Amino acid sequence: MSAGQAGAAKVSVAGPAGLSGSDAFASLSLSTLSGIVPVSALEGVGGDGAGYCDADGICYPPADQAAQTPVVSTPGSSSAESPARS
Amino acid sequence: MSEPISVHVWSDISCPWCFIGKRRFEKAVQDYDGDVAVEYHSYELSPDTPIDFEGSAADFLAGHKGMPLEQVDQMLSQVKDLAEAEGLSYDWDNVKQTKTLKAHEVLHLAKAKGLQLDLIEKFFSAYFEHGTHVGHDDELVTLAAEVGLDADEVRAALAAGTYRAAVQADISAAQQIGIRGVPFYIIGEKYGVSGAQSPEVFGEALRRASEDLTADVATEAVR
Repeated sequence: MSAGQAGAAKVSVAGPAGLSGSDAFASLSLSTLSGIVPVSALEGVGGDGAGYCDADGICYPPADQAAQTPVVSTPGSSSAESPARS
Repeated sequence: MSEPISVHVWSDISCPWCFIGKRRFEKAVQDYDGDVAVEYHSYELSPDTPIDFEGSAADFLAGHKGMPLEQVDQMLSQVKDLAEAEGLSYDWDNVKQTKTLKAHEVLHLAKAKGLQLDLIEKFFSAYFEHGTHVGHDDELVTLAAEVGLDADEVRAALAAGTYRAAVQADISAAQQIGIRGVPFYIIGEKYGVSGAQSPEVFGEALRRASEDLTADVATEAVR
């Protein structure tokens, strides 16, 4: 979030500010990520009905709003596996 | 409020839902009574995209990806409308489809300098709203300098590929974690949010992560 954007005062950068160098950064980056659990183990919030783009560069619109999207689901049942929704 | 909620976001500059999701997340943060620490991670959509694709976004999706033109037009129109609802002016006719790996390298340099959030906003807007080519060194250097990065340092880092490994590490991490679409948010290292969800959904995830933090602090206090 850039300065002037919503919430700027409450948002900080989590990256390794002040460091440089690919080795130092790469190790820090991996260290940062090491605490993250697999998607299948995450507690999903919001279901899989939102717009997204898959690795092939194909982007999908939100699922039909008439279909009630559960508030909680598992992102492990990824929306990326769904057929095109447009 | 004690420590900030950690938010890891995987996204790509060329992902229209990622910019929309960014705005919706920002709305949630605005309404959230606490601090968040956001870290963006690289994800490359369509790695086979050439640096200099000749044609529009519609041409790319219809020709390069084989999607029916009618479906492409409908999709782009819908995304444009939804972006507009978030205050964004997508200009599909002038989007310069390109490979975004170099842009991600500059974003990693910006992260090292504490300027990642400023630069990703700059890149998204340049790509979707201003028809800027984000695959060439010159344009990337110019945009990076506008948020305060040293132009010579950016150019040298691009030439040397200083952050190429960091970009690949992010992409590999996404694959290992199981992320197959973006934007993807991991909030409080526990809650996964897939796609450009509503501010309410992001707010719910922040609220739950905050409750977890509060519970952890209480548990520690009892010990």
